[in-house]
Amino acid sequence: MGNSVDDGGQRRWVADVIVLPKPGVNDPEGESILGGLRSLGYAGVTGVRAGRFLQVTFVAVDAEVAAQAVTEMCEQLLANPVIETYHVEIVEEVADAVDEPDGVSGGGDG
Amino acid sequence: MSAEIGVVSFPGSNGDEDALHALRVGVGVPARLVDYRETDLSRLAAVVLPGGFSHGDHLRPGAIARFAPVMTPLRDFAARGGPVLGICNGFQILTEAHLLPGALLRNRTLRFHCHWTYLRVEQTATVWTAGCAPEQIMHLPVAHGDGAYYADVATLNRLESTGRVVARYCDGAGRLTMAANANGSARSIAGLANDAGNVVGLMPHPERAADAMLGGTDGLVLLNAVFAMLAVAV
Repeated sequence: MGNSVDDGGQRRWVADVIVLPKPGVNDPEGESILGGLRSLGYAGVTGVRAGRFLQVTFVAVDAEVAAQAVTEMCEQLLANPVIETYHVEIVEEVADAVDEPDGVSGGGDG
Repeated sequence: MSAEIGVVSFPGSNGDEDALHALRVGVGVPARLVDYRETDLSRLAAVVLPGGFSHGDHLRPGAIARFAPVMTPLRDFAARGGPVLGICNGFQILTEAHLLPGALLRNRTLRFHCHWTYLRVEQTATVWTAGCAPEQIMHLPVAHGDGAYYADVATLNRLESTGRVVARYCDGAGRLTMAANANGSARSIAGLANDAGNVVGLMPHPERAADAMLGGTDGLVLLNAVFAMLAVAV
């Protein structure tokens, strides 16, 4: 991790990480947003959980190593397993766009 | 070579100078700041993790500070029985480092709380509360946005049954009320100890109640515990 990106065999990955409060953990921010949606007239909204979205760009030799690395990042730092759950999706960056993050983020608005 | 008390300065700490001043002037013992990159705590009789916003509170309060270089020797220091007091952000760092169980969530009001509060001492068999009377009521200030103590029910029950709850928020008469528990902490918990009683985390600020001119001196009852620690260390 953290070495030069064009080392032989290293591939570039983007991990989308969603962190949410565990079920049962009080989430006053989510409750507040729920109240806002109901005030707007969305009476059918029954729950909001407020969390965090993180996008991690990194290199790894293959998909398995990449997945293992992100799991470790989540367990150690990105999420607090005492109070939060996390969900990860990893995609490999296409080779012809490595120097232009805006071009490969898929949905970024630059 | 004489022993002293260490107060760790992380980037973003703002209670470090307060704690240093309270120890040096309020209590009257030798104390020094410990940079978060230091790796030798061997001459310290006790370590205080102060309040503030270490590393900007980014991600979660204490989440980044947990990986500071000083935390490796601190872990060893605590494992050997060295006294550690985490105040406010220091408490948050101790939970992130798993030196104390649970976590501190956003206040239920979603607001930063900055006011004086009453605490009831629940456990005097820790190195930091040994000088307190059982159920002593203390008047201390709080200053936090993430102070709502959380642990799952099994953990809370274990903390209760093993006497690790050190202090709870209460009213001036010592009653546990919803109003007194302003941040929404589970079971009104304001402070916790580890099993050995040498690591204590506390959301209120004893170091800001160490001078009568600044509103009160109840914090000295806790901070005076360092005399016994220095006596052992010399």
